[in-house]
Amino acid sequence: MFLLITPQQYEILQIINASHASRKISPIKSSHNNWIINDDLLTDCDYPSSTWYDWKDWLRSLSETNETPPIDE
Amino acid sequence: MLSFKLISAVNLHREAIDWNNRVLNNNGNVSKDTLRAVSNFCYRIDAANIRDKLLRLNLFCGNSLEACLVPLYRGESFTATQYGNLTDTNNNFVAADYTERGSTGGLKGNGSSKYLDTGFAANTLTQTDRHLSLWWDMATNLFNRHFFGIDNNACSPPSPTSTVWWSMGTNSTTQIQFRCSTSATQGLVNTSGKIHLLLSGNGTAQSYLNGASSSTLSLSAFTASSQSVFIFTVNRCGSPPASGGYGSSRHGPYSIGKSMNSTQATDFYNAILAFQSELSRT
Repeated sequence: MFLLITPQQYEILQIINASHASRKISPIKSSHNNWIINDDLLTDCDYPSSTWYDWKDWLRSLSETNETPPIDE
Repeated sequence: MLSFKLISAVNLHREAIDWNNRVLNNNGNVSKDTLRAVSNFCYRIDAANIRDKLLRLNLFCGNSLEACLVPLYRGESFTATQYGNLTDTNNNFVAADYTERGSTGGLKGNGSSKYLDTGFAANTLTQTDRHLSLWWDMATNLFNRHFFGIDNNACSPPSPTSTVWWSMGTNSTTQIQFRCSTSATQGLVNTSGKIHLLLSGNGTAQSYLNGASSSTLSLSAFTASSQSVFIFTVNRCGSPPASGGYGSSRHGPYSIGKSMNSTQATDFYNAILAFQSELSRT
């Protein structure tokens, strides 16, 4: 469901995002206050034509997590 | 494909041709049937004399996620000042979230992290002259989600001077909520299925469900903040809300622009419905 982003990985993400005007991976805070991101990004990063190809190595460096976002406001 | 488009281009609306070219530049593609449907939509809008009401509009069509993020309109005319991002900035959507045609046609959120940034500043529109509209597949809604618009609730300090809400969201698969004032008081629209909702006005706001007058709000008008309008979430103080602020719905066309009267809202809905029908999305 989600991938866990460490503080160091978060910093690297900002660098990758900065080079793309039309798309960004935007992490959200989990209910444990850690940065996480939807894991289906891994389904769309393998090929040069993939949406998140430039993030491929970064995405593959992330670990799966059971943490989830807060449910409702 | 290219030769076909060139041959048939004599009958295509110039804004449809321009959109097609921008899709190609964004690594997308457009079928001849879709291009014709987009062109038909442009002609219907012109015939209804409401083109200048639409400052930004995206029909969410084309062969891919990249294609569907290219808006058809970015200003009140083809040659007028253009507003917002060249494409709707993709935050966390993947190719599988988008289907062009059929009953599941449109772009679907996940209710937790995916959204678009139009780059369209809410204060582009004047205090009394604004609308939001959106096509919804209500069956894909989640409870208590705010997913189209802006608010500066709890911003420190609120900008310009007071807290404002200008957004649509959901309570359930059978109810839409909307806000359009300096008050958090919500208007409610009970509906289901695949629908189009247009919210027109400021403070005193009229909603139009499938082109017909629906519920209203009579509250205080506001001067909008400069936040850009988000879709699939609301832009709260520059970013999505910390929790619960993402929609899960599948959406078709959205628009942002000037207010519409009942006749204009009906004509607009009919143009949207005809386009959605041409893509077998209804």
